[in-house]
Amino acid sequence: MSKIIKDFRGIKCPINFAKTKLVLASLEDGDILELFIDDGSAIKNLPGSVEKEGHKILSREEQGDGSWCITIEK
Amino acid sequence: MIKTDFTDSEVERYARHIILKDVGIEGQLKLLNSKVLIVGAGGLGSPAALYLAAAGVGTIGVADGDVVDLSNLQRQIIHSTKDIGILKTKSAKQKMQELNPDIKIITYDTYLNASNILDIVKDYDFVIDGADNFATKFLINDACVLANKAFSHGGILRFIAQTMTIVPNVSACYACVFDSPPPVDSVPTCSSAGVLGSIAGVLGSIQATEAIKYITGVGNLLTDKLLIADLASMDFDKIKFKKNPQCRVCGENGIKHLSGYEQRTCEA
Repeated sequence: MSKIIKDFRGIKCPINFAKTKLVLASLEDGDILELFIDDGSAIKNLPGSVEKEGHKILSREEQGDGSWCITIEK
Repeated sequence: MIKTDFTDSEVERYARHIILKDVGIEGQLKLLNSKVLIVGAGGLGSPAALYLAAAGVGTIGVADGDVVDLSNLQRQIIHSTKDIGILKTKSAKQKMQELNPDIKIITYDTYLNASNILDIVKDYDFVIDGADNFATKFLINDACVLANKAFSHGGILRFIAQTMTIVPNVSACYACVFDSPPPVDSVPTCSSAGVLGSIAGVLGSIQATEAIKYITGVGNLLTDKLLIADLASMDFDKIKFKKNPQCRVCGENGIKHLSGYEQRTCEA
């Protein structure tokens, strides 16, 4: 089981989700992805879309600068 | 070279396919690695060519021996007024390449006939019939049956559009349904009866959708069904057909080699 970190802040919807799908596709089941994304439509939409693909959102933490870090288990 | 990964610009260009359930990463890679031949860069071929280029079909062949005429522009939306007099293949390739520079466009500046069609069709995964005459439509059917290539038949007249998808040896072919071309002058043509330009857009887009569905495996194809759309009343009907075991073309004693049909042109 491995963990990788990606920073998709500044990447607009739905490109950030397309990139997230590609990263998740390269991981093994059980691997963890820590993902930094923007506030607004990114944090509103992306976690739900990731869940609909069958992945688990373990946590979502607001960063000091208004962005978010979400932890996804494939 | 088979593509197995995306560049950053491809992720952005195809994002709405990649995030689409059932197409996704795998479906987009299939599209990028696929080859579709469009016969006729006219009313049906125009929207089909643009949508397939936009979708990232990796190799698109366009076959047409005609040049752009002012009277084409009412429905053949890939061509512009400045293109009048140049080959339709050249005009189409330019627009498709502007839309998507990453794909490969192969042009055949010729009308297809019994002696050249098999050699062209063999390189493709799917064929779009955007031909403007029955002789070519039956020839496409026969060549696709012999070469075992799936294709989308399409035809438009006045306010009516019809289409069916043929997967040879699996579903009914065009000749299972219509047998052979109608007698010369028994059926009105687009040039004698007219056609509403926008229905070419409707049908060509449906044909492109069938190509994309065939390549990606999404949904159900229009096989063993003839879709007849009357755009005046907005009635869309599907008539079911079965593969005819005695079909002149794909039946048990079907054709073994190609022969041409009597040619009659119509400005579709």
